[in-house]
Amino acid sequence: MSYKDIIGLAPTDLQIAILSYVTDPVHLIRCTRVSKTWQNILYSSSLEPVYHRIIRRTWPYFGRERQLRLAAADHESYKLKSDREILITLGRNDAGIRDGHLHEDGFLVAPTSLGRTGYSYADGFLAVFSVDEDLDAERDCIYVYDISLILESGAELECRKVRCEGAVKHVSVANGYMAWMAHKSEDTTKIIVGLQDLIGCNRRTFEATILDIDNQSFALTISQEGVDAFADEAKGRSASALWLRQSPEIFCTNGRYICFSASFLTHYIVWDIRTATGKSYTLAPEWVRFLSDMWSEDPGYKNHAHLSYYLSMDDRGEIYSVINGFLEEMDCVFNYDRFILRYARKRDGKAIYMKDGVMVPPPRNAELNDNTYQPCVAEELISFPGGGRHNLFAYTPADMNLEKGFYDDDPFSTILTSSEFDLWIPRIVIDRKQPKRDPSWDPRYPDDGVHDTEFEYKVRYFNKNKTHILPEEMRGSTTVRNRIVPKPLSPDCIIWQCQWTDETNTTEEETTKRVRDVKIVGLKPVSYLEYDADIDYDNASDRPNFPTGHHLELQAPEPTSVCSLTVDYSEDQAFGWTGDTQHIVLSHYRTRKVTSGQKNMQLDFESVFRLFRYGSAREVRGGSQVAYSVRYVDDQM
Amino acid sequence: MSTIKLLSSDNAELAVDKEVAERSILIKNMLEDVGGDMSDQAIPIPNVNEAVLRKVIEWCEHHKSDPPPPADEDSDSRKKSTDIEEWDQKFMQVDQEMLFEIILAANYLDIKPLLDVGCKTVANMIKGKSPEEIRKTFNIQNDFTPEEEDQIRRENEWAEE
Repeated sequence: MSYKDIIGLAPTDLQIAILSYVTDPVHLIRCTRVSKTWQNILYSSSLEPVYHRIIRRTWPYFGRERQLRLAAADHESYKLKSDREILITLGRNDAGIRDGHLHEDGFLVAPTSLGRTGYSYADGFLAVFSVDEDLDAERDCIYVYDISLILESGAELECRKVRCEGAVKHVSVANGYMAWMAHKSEDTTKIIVGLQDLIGCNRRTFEATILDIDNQSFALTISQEGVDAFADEAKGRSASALWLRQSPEIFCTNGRYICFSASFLTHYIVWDIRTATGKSYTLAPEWVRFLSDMWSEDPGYKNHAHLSYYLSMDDRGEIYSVINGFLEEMDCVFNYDRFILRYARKRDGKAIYMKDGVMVPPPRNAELNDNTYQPCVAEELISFPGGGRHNLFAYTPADMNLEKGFYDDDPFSTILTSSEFDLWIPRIVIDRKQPKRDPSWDPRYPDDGVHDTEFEYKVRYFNKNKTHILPEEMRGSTTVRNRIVPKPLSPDCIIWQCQWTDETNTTEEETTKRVRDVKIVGLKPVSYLEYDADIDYDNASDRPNFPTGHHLELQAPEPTSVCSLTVDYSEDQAFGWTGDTQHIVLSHYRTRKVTSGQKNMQLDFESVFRLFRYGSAREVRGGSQVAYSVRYVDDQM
Repeated sequence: MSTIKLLSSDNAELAVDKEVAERSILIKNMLEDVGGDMSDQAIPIPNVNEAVLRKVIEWCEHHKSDPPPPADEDSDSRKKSTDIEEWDQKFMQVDQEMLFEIILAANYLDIKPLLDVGCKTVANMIKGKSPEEIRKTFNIQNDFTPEEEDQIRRENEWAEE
């Protein structure tokens, strides 16, 4: 047997040809350690097309982003990594996500001219804007920090200052685009909606009119005259924003469509920025009737302030809305009944209910139990951040219609079968508190109990079911908010929690100062159920047969990673976090000393944004946790 | 069917069907340049010796009826699969010196499908293997110092098993 270092001795074009077939980034990078000759080949710029092809195939978003950036007019203003460096960065990042490792990379401080700030982060763009009522605040600007992983790390960050035609109300970033809504300064009945390409810098805006209807008359109008009195469905198109003062305002984009709701989610508008048209949608009539019943009985919304509303849009422009809350005050069958409405409206107008553990809507209204809308089974899963920065899940419903009477006529049947129901209709549930596992509970109501723990929650998806529990010693008196599940979601993926406790410290000057001890914790699942085969739903006339499965019950494991820090805290200052596969972003305020001679805004605080990256600090750049230097550029638009 | 002669680098003259020889774009173009008539004169193939040329002709004979490869030589689909037909797999069961020479010859003679098979064969010898296993496969000397190797290992920890 003769041996030959074929790669090492081949001419460059053949080295490229051979290595083009090594499509797994891990296999390719391992070759670096074979010999110095191989290392030189793999470090050679001639291999860049090989790396680029792997990036496009393995991480298509980043492949596209790099091409778009290279085509952008201003791409020389920032420094892109080479394809090899990008591949290594993304490979390392994926491994960090998989292993649940996280470290603080650095922080940036927003200009104090913004006053109090809001933000939106996605895909390596962090948009910061003013939410300050102070007229001196810079309310017509959005500062967009470019923190993409494909930019050279260690270099200064670029921040683009985007000017808007009015006071910015909402900002949403997705897929390299930023949507914003601003009040026109000279006419408060008008809003300006814009969409900005953050890479190519193209921008489109249009004007819409606010239809501001008094809360009370709105509820009565709906209950008396139905949906048509509010939005003419026959007419279909509308460029008017629907506005209710007490409703949360929800605004999101997917980079092409912009969605807005300010009417407790009963109505929302989707603007197509390319055609500058808006289309109104409503929930299905049964739901609108149900909600308007609720408001008629409680016009001041005092009993319903705890309900939470989320709205999200997936990449295809399909809308997912969630109303989440307990209904014990609403004369339900059981006083602990709750509902979680998961509702989707496809772009073709077709409505889809995505049911959760209890009957939707609740059984108090027999009229609503006609099973007109059947639940659908998830066949494809996409995780995405929803309104209010909560993670929601989109799924592609399969074309499955369950037989009429699947739930029987007895309204109790759906309540009784909540866990069984989950098995029949597997789907995603996220951010859902898990009841204490008390064996004395009535097994008929496994999901109904005292939901007082914040430390257990469940992620459930197609044929799989897993539970995350925080270790006992970490429960203490901390508060836990939000969860971030980075894509790609897998059965054993790590879920991230942000926990905190507040303290009051005495400073050297004998004044008190409130601080918040924050921990960002990565957790592995402790319980995991997976069936050996897919459940067969094809024959809808029979209940599906469940294949055998394996169920792992583990002790609450040690967190995979804990990032701890202490930040200044004040109740009237925003504190928040969000994240995706590139970063976790923590926003908080920081006190600052103001010298009496300063002419500009005399703020005694500033907004800080801390960036956490996946992987260990040692691997990346030493975990310096430094303040980034930022280069501000004015948007040319 | 007309026959042409090929002259290897070690002066061996090999007769081959024109149709088979024209799997090589280099030979096809040469024949077109001289009007197709090379019946009395051997075409010199100076970069390929007799043993390798015989192997290449064997491959071309087996694949003489194959459709021409797609024009887009950089298409992603071509790079997706490293599957190799059973006959080609057996054909490529040669020692590494010969494999290397076949790849060089396929490149020189411009026989893209053969070049692909050769490249895939080498790629399959790399895929899924640790650096140590790759060194063993090709009998490559590890010329890194332990410190240098440790440094690379640390940098690419995510890609290590």
